[in-house]
Amino acid sequence: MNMHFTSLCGDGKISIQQIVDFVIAISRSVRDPGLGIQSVPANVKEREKETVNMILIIVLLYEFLTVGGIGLYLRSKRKNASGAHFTNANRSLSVPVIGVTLALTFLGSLHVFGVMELSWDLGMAAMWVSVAHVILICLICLTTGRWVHRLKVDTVPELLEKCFGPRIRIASSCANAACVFGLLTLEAQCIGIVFSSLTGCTIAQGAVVGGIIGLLYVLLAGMEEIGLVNVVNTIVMFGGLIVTGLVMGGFLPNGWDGVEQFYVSSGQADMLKIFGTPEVIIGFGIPTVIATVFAQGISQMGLQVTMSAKSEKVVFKSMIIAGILNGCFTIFTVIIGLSAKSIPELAALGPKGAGPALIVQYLPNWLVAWLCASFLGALLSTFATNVMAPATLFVKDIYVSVYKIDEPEEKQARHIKVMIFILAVIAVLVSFFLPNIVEGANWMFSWLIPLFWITIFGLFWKTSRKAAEITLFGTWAVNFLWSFTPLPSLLGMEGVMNAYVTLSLSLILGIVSNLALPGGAALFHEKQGKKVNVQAAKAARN
Amino acid sequence: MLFTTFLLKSLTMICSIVGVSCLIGLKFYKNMSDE
Repeated sequence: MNMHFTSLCGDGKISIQQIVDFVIAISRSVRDPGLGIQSVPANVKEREKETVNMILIIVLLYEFLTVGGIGLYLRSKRKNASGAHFTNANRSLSVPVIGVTLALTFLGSLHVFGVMELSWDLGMAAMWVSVAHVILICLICLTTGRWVHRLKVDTVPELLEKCFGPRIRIASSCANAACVFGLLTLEAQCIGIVFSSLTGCTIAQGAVVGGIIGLLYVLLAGMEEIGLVNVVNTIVMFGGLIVTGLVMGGFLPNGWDGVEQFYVSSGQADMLKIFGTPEVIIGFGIPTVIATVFAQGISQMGLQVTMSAKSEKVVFKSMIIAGILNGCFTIFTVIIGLSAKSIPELAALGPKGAGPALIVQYLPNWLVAWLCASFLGALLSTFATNVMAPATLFVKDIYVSVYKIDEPEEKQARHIKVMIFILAVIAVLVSFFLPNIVEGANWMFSWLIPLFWITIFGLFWKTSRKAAEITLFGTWAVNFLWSFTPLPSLLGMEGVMNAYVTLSLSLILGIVSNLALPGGAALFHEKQGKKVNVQAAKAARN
Repeated sequence: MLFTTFLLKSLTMICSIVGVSCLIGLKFYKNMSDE
């Protein structure tokens, strides 16, 4: 899930702020029906209380049965599982499990709620979000995901330590963990919203229930549990979405033709173009692709999945499943948002409330339950990998690495479980005050971009610790100034996103410093077809 | 009709990206480890 793009398109600015506003407005309306958008709770109240309870029971039963059932089965099957089994399933996962897990890891609140709202302004061009994530998955399966698997590392910072030494490892683990934790708080909030939309309970209560299921998801059997539950969730999720696509036309007041006529007759035919207008492509599409690919391509949460694969070939093959599954999800949320705008009573609710209102108000109860279970599955899977990633980083890259603690894998796994619990509790608590956190998560995303580039340089060009430090800290310093000082306005660049700044600086500082400073051989230096050479790189570093 | 057209266009777009990536990946397939 990527949250940090801004674009200029059509008549206004589409930004992360709109998604934030969307979540806040729904949150307020649930807490206080007199405020904000009232669609979700209002529609819930229109339903019979018994029906609502029935839907909720079905959804909860499904989540507990899949998560609890698979978790307990795996625990009984692997009573003597090692600690490494918890974090990377002993590098044993197959193509379907890796493919599905990778697809669902990057399929979260933006795909569920954000895209519905984006389609209000962009129409079908909201599919650019999907394009960005498919390219991201392909990049991971072709490059970074394979590399971390080949080097047998457990975390991204461990890979950076191999290139640049321990200082860079600590710096990158802090940035990576903070970024993923920011996303975790957002997922917790959105899980709360799904429960709120079903029951009318507060988002806080919904987030707590979601947090408990999310903890079960990951704590019972670790990465293998996440993988297998994801397989079940994917079948249920895509079943629900396909059925929705097939039957939704029949539940719309004027069918699909009515939706098409609305856009054509109101002079918004451009909204039915899948790539949008040239302005949309330049102002929204390309920036979204850049931000998503370079920020998430080196993120622990995605790469932890590929580390659990049986082999590099499994990582590569899983690209087909992951790319197609992740990309297709957005088709359904785009069409829901697009249809909602064409119905006057839903259009009155605005972009933030119309999509969820269409689901709750127009679809039959059985399909509402199915869709809610599907959306929860998507959110919970992202929650699970997002809580696993920072906990692993904290234990392996900070606790064990910094304090030089020589612990067996089993003991580390226990510490990771404790950290998972602590982080999940904090994330649920913090999610009650989402606005600042989302802005923080947005800001933190741009911190990952220099990590991506120093990794590329270290693997294929040169391992210079000083150059890596200059690139990282230089970029981060400017990113900080860009966020908290009037520097952008002084330079006349107010509209320029942090991601662009960090991308440009990472490349400029990285290339110049690597050219100017001495360094060791790259980790994947290849000479005359002979792959090598870790030892030489180590010697040069030392 | 609207949904079917959109679905087909989207699937074509997604499959094209994955397909091109597969072709790129196949060039390096021999060098990928099996374990």
